[in-house]
Amino acid sequence: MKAALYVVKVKGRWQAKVSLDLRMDLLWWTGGVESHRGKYPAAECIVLIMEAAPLGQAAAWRDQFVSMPAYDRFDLGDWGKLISTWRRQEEKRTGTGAKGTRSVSLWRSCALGGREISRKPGLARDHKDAISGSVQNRGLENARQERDEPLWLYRRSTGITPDFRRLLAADASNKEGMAALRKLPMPDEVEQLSVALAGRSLLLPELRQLLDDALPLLAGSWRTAVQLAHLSGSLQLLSGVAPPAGRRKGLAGLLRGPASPRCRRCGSAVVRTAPCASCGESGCAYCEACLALGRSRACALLLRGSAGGRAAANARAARPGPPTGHELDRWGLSPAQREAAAAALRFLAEPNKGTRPARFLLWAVTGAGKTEMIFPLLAHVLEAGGRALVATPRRDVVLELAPRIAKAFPAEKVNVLYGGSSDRWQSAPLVLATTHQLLRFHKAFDLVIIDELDAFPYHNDPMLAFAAEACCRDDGHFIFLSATPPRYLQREAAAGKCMAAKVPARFHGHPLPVPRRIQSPGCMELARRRRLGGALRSELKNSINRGAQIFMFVSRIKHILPLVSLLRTSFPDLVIEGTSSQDGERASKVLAFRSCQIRILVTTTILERGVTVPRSDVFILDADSGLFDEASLVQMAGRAGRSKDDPAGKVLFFSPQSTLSQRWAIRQIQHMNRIAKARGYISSEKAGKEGSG
Amino acid sequence: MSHPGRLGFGKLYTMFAPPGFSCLGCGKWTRHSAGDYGYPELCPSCAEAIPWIRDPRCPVCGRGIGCPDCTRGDWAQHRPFIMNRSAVTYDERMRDWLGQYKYRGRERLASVLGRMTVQGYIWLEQEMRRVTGDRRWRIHIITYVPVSPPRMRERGFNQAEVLAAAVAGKVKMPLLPLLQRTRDTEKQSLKSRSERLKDMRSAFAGYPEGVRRLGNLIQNGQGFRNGTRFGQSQPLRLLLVDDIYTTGSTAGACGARLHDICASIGVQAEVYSLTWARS
Repeated sequence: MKAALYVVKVKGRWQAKVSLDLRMDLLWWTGGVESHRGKYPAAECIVLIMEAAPLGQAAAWRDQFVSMPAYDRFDLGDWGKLISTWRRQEEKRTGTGAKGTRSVSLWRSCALGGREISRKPGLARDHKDAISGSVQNRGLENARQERDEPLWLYRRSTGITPDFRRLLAADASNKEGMAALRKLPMPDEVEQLSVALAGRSLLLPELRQLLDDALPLLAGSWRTAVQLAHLSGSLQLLSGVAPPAGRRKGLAGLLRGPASPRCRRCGSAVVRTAPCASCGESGCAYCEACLALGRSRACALLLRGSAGGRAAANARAARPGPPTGHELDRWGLSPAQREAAAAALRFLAEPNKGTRPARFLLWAVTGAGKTEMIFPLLAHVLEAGGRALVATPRRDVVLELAPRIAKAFPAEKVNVLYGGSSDRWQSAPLVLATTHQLLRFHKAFDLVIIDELDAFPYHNDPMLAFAAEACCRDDGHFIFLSATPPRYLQREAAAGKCMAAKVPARFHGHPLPVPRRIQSPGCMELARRRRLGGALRSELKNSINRGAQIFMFVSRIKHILPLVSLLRTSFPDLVIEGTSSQDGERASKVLAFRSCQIRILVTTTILERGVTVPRSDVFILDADSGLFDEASLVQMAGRAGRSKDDPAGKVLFFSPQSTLSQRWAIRQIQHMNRIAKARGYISSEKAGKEGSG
Repeated sequence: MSHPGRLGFGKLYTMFAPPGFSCLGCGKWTRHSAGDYGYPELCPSCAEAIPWIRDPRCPVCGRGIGCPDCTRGDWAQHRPFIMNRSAVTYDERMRDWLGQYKYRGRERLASVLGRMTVQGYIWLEQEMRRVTGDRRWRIHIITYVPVSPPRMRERGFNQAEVLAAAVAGKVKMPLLPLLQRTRDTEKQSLKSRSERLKDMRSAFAGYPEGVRRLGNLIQNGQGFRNGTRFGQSQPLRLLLVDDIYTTGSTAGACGARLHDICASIGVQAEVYSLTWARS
């Protein structure tokens, strides 16, 4: 989109401003907005730089603008020169000008476009020219009326100019979203908008959905309302894609050329450009990484509300003192949970004076009862008047967690966000969301709890890591929950760079089943021989006689079918099924397994988390496969012995060879058991039973 | 790489890294590209799954299956366009691609969809050459279905224009914006056939700048290879490009306008419709 760009001198300093509704700015700086009269110093002079510039360029110029005394003596020509020099430098810096891809912009070449085409009639131009040519033509009607040379709008000595009057009288109806001057949004409506956008990071289509949903009265006059909120300081107007921060330094700059622009919303480097009719640029950069949540592009309006109203800030200042044991009593935690939760509460109570959120790792073994542990943490933050977020990678986890949290906090409004959820635009102190939804927040939360940090899709997705970081306030706190934290975090915790607490025992106080490795041929080999190995067969028989259900993990989807048919011939009277990410009936098979209708379920790592059955044994075939790392082996092992009634499930690694991952996984589990024993979380009687069984 | 001229680490890296890319159609990481089919951005399974319409069943609308609409009395005799041809059938996968491109804004798909539309044009041309026996049969002017200015500002591009530009680039004939929308019709996908036909009738008008250029073009005959002059005896063949043909209401309304435009500058017109997909 396009926006107006002007400079204004207030209190002896020059500021550059971007405007969606220039009339509001003119009134504002000359004391014409009723509700704010007298609150702000009147302007000394206003110069319009451009009436309709591509938003990306206007915002970039504004962001680099610094007040200088010399500007006092500038005439219109000087302002014009200032911006054209900047534009040339920018083109040189980003390397776009020379290639002519981004430099030809509408307001420079609009007149050219038409002539060029009629001069060479009938000659086919190549694809890109054809598009940009006619895109430019389509914008002509508007562009001709809009001026691109600077104009005086106001000087205190001489008063307002005719152009000021012309712009103020501009017919509100020719641009959508502008309110008529007689029907401007009320101050309290603008205030409501500021509150609704606090801590948000929204693109224009999202703003309009929010308005339709939460503030329908402002939907028709969004430009005016947003501009008023921006002028009052509660809303930032940004472009979706930020220009490159600078040239790459040294050799990298020489070899790789200029840095690429970055998406402000998701932090990804932007390498795609396309001709854009909305701003008239022939190379408007857009972000492909976060397309699924609406397109962020160089001329797209990104609104960021400043976090929290005044009330919230006051509440944060009056933070309660360090937590007492009393605070933990009502949650009914096991001793291991309680100790870790207390450590996390101490971490929360410590004020964070750094410029980045403080981080805390809560390392809880599988089946430790992580969800119960986050309740006291959420309660602590909410009682202090702060905002808290629980983010998890998967939608089904959000849906499962929502009722439990609602039950634990009956008095609080809980906002549940996932793709397609209904309460997307309400604002609540407690938010439960899938990770992608975090892109819609900016520095909003005092406490961010991230569940299953190592799970897909956090794993190796810098966009989600960026989003998680960006949605937490600078003075906020981060808590990572994981049974298998990534190595770098384990190292940081060990080195004391990141605070951490371990929950080494399960809630039922029994030790974790320790995996046993059994020499066995791989899946391919078994399928080729068409019979199960002796060890595998006898272990399966043991488990079946014991009455357990069996999780059988394989490394590849293509191994599932042969293995299922092999098992069916060996155990003809059992129900045996296989499922994978490509299986349409996955959900129903998992349900059937949970309800004990399926006895053996052959699957891949997709079921390594989340699915819990009361009496289960875990068989991992091809445990030496490169696709099973330490974390996934520990997660899979964590499927066994979850229930109080059957704590001693079996975990078996079948592999032709021993690998580091298998040894590390076994060591990690043994290590946790040792700590639990040393701290007395496992009673010796229970441990003894385990030893003998 | 944004700078093809320079040798960068990126290039060296890709030289040594195992070759692979993310398929533009299904998003899967793959090592095999469908470059042999002319679609190096796609994986072979996506490229093979494109539901081409090589042999249209319906001679009017180019549908791959039998078509009751086109045999309905009035439409069969008085139709503002000669025929429609589409490159592909609008199935689930194509719906997803178009959604990704048009609504999500994944503009990288533009070039794929453009090349597919060009394929559709090639088949149309072959068919016409076969039918008319004129081995030099070709389209003279290419134009497209316009979108309304607010939609254009919102989306940033007109998909029909982009497809038309691809065809124009391939056949080396002029692309002219001859039409404009007089009002914003609501989303077509929510309406019944009769509603659409009624709604469309007055939605388009001539675009003066484009019409002027068409007039110039015809007067001095520039750009047409053999210097053809158009008049009553030699009709001007116009190709109207759009993304989807559903009921033909858009093509019908635009076709009627194009006939008016050509009549106003004193030439007889034949309108052919080409769309990327036929639903």
